[in-house]
Amino acid sequence: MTAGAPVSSVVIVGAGQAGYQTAASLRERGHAGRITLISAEDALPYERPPLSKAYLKGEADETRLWLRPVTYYVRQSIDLVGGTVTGIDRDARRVRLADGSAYDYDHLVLATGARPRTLDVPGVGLRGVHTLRTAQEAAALRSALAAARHAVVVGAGFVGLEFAAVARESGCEVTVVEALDRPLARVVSARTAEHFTRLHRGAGTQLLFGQGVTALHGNSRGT
Amino acid sequence: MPKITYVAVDGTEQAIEVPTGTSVMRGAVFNDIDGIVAQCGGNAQCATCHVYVDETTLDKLEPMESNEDGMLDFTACPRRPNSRLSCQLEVTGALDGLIVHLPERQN
Ligand SMILES: Cc1cc2nc3c(=O)[nH]c(=O)nc-3n(C[C@H](O)[C@H](O)[C@H](O)COP(=O)(O)OP(=O)(O)OC[C@H]3O[C@@H](n4cnc5c(N)ncnc54)[C@H](O)[C@@H]3O)c2cc1C
Ligand code: FES
Repeated sequence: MTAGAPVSSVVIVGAGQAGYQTAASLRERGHAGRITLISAEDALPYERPPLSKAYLKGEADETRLWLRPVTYYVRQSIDLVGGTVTGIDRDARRVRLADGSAYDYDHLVLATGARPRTLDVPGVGLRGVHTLRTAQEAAALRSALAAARHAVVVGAGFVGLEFAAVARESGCEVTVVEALDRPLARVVSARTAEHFTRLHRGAGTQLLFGQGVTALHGNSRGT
Repeated sequence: MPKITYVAVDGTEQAIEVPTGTSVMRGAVFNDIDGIVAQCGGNAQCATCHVYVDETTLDKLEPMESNEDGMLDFTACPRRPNSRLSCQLEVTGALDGLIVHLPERQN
């Protein structure tokens, strides 16, 4: 912001790492106008990385995930709003939320992140089928894991393999199904992938490559 | 709980009891102390949790690992002999009485 410019208001949609950091950096660099941080998740901005690690293992509770305590937002006058943005009126410079409320902006930041790709196969709605992105989903997985004896992981990316390691450690029999011919194909070399394959197999996890999932079967108990 | 004192640039001191098993960085962040940014969440990858350890309490700390050493070359304020990354300082009973000075800037 240039000195002497009128104080402008910023609305940020999405309060993940990106949304939070945008708000924090604006204040740090002296932005004096209103900052509204809108989150579809009913939680203070938090980090996701521990969700598939310490949090899943039960070594950290929700409060340990928070990027900052609630007092921070009060002190920095960052307005946290819970709700889902369903419309943007660019002419009026206003966002609309599902509950009917609306917020005016001079600058709008979309920090809406990503979500897991779900499978387009029969059975995805069965009990015992989980996705892992939010703290809420991690909490559900954590309690499911406490009683589970078998776990199947679809996708051998970072999150899938981290989950597999935690599940294996907690005594589950774990099978990882990956459509490509190796784990972490998008992010590491074949050689590094080979190392992780060996590591997980050594821990007793079954890894299947080049296999797509075509259907999920189960009963009402999710087994 | 070990008590850790955070000294701001203007000399303001905040003594905080920090649970063992967490880090000096988390002690600051969870108690809403300005001056520690901790952008990478404690992975020795951002150097925005830089602190200067008070010379009188330096002996409470374990020596640093090579990744912390390497990252300390990227701090926003000059690295000094008593520079540490607060996320790499695990809080144990031995840290009781630790005093850290916060740098002027973290990025
Ligand atoms: C289990 C797990 C482990 C991970 N581990 C690591 C790791 O070890 N290292 C690493 O570097 N990265 C890791 N990541 C990736 C990292 O968490 C993401 O890159 C990061 O969360 C991206 O942040 P973001 O703010 O862009 O988006 P997100 O975190 O996706 O946040 C976007 C937010 O916007 C909200 N939103 C979306 N649409 C709307 C709307 N219309 N209205 C209101 N709100 C909306 C969403 O609900 C969400 O809360 C991990 C991710 C997961 C899920
Ligand atoms: S928090 Fe990033 S290096 Fe310490």
